[in-house]
Amino acid sequence: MLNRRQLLTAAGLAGVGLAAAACSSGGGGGDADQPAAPKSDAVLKGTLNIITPEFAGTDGKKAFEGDILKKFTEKHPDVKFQVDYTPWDKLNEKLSTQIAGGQASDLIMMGMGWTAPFAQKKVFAPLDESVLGEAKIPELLLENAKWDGKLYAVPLLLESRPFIYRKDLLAMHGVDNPERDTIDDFTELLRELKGKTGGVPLDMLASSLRQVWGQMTFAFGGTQFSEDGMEAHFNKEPAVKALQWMVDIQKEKLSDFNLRVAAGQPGAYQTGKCVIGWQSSGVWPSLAQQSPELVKDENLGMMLCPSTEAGKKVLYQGGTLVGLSSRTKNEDAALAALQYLVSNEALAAASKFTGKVPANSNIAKGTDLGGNKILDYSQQNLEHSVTDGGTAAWMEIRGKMDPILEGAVLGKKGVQESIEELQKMAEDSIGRIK
Amino acid sequence: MANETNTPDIEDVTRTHVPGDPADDSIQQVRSSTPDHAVKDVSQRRRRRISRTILWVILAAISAAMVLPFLWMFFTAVRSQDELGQPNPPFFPRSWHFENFGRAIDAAPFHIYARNSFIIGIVNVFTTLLFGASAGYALAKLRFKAAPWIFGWFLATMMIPFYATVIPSFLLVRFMPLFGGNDIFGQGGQGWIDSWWALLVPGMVGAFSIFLLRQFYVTTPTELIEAARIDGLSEPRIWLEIMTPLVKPGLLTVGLLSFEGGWNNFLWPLLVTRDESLRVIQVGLSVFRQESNTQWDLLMAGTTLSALPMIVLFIIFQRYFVNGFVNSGIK
Repeated sequence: MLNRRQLLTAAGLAGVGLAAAACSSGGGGGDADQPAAPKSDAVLKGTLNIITPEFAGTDGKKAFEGDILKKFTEKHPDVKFQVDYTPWDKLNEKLSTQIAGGQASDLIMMGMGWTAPFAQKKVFAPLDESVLGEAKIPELLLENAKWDGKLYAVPLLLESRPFIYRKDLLAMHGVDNPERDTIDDFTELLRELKGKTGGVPLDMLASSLRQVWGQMTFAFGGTQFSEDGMEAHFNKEPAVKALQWMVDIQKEKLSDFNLRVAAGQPGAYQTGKCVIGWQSSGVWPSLAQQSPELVKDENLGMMLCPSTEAGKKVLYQGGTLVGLSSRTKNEDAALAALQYLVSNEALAAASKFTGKVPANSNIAKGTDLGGNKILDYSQQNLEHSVTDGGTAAWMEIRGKMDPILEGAVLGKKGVQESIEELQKMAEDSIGRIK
Repeated sequence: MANETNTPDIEDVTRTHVPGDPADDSIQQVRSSTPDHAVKDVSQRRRRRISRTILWVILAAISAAMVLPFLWMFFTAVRSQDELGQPNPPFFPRSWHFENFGRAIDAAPFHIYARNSFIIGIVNVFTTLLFGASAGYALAKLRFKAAPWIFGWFLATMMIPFYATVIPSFLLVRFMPLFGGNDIFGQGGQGWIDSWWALLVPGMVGAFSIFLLRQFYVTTPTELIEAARIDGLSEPRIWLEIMTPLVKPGLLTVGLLSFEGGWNNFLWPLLVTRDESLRVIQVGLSVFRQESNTQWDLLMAGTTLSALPMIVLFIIFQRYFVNGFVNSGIK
């Protein structure tokens, strides 16, 4: 059975196909297959429409339009912006209907993994890498913003998920530093902590299982999809081992899916039930406000997830990217604005307001990004970034993964059976876009 | 035996009893003249009291279960950050932070959002009552061959989920000819997108409202229509002056539901608007839900404020509202 979101996505993407086919020449007037590059001598003018899931509310509007975009319009006074603030949980619906109506905004902000599905439908125009300017973006994230070998979007802000740990509680149990070289060593540490504390040591499986599996597949040395995104690797050894690891730590109660809470509610790490948490940099504001003791340096430690290879670490990244609509009628101004948005100046301001990690590792160390320690730590470790997605069928696949993974983790289905189900689901979805 | 104890025969009593006659004391005699009946009376009264008490307890428990989420919403709205961070916060907040309501209102231009939602709700009420009542009346009382087919078609459309029709609806709005820069073929502009037309027209009447009002009109006496026709009243006047006043509970029910639909509408206004000046209150509430964080205190404060108009309206009209559903045969 399709849920209502999948129903809308399917209908929307069908509409996208029609709209793209009907209007594939785009509005920009250029060759749709040639990557768009910013022109230094272009005369910039007109109104640019931006759709964004970030910067909602009075303060957000002030930060985005009153500060970040204002600096751009000060340099280019003939350019105006109309911003469409759309919440994350309805962004897919909004984009799908907009595109089906042939009305995409000039600049489109969206989530990690969304690039390939929309690029395949010719919603985005390919970008020349010169649009990145001086920005230094982790290679794997840039790969995620590509489809068919071309760049279609630029990562802006990241929701990083490092491990954070309670220094005070670990010290009570004789553990000064929980950082380990390999997954096996880390799992052994979790067993040791369980033995000492008697409780569940790791708050990880209470997060999105899709994201946990995505990170752990990389940690076990694999990828989720082939390079062209047309083949799922869910049944390859690293993905199987990653799922087996998740099932094992649930069985041994080293982490517990049942500790799940709604977003914004205090999780098992915050309430002291777990000593290590897999936490998003986005939880910092509530963590700092509700439990100020936990974010003090003497209590808060951070580390990356180890992998099977000694010394190699992984850091899961969700996030926000920006792409150029293939239907923009104002390509020059839109490209200039996109290039500005990924600049150090704009990204630092955006990061400070949103609490998200700037995807640009070129931002000078020590730049004030709002005092979010998880953000600062993640910013310093961007080279370890991994993320899920990487196929044009991702919008369909991602919504169906969690229930299958949940069945496996909770022991309702075996690992092999779940892997086969995941692989078949992914193959079917990819088959529909071939 | 009743006769042996000087009690009047029961058949005799019913035969001779005259309602309203002060001289007729036969009922009193039946009720109080024998110890048997007195005992029965007491036990019946006790049984009635016990069953009523049980009923009250059950109803009170159900009412508490209904009210509890609203109370929890209000208490969450006024909690401190410290309490929000606790795994098991106390039921009653230890400190009351009414400033959260102010913070919620400041977080987004709620005065604009509330105004827009109110306009959509009010326009929905008037248009739904006008079109719904006229269509419902026609389907219930006017004899024409297509009536059952049209009614069946309305019922069928109620079974299609909104999510399946949202993109076709969006395309209709987007390609509306001669609006928003569109030519006669609906090309070249944006149609009704980002305009009041897109917010108001698609919600002007729904199949459910027509269905509900038809059910009300079905229960009204057709003889009145025939009498009015004989008296020479025109068909529109029969509908407006004779029949529609008879379905007031239905009008109130449908009106309340239409206002609620307009006030709480979220996805459609979000899809068809870009400009903040056209956004509605439910879109405003989404400000408090970020990708990986939710500001529960502000979200609940905003939700409390946005729920108030509907709660007040329901309290005022609850009798009619419940009657409306009972009379339409839906309950």
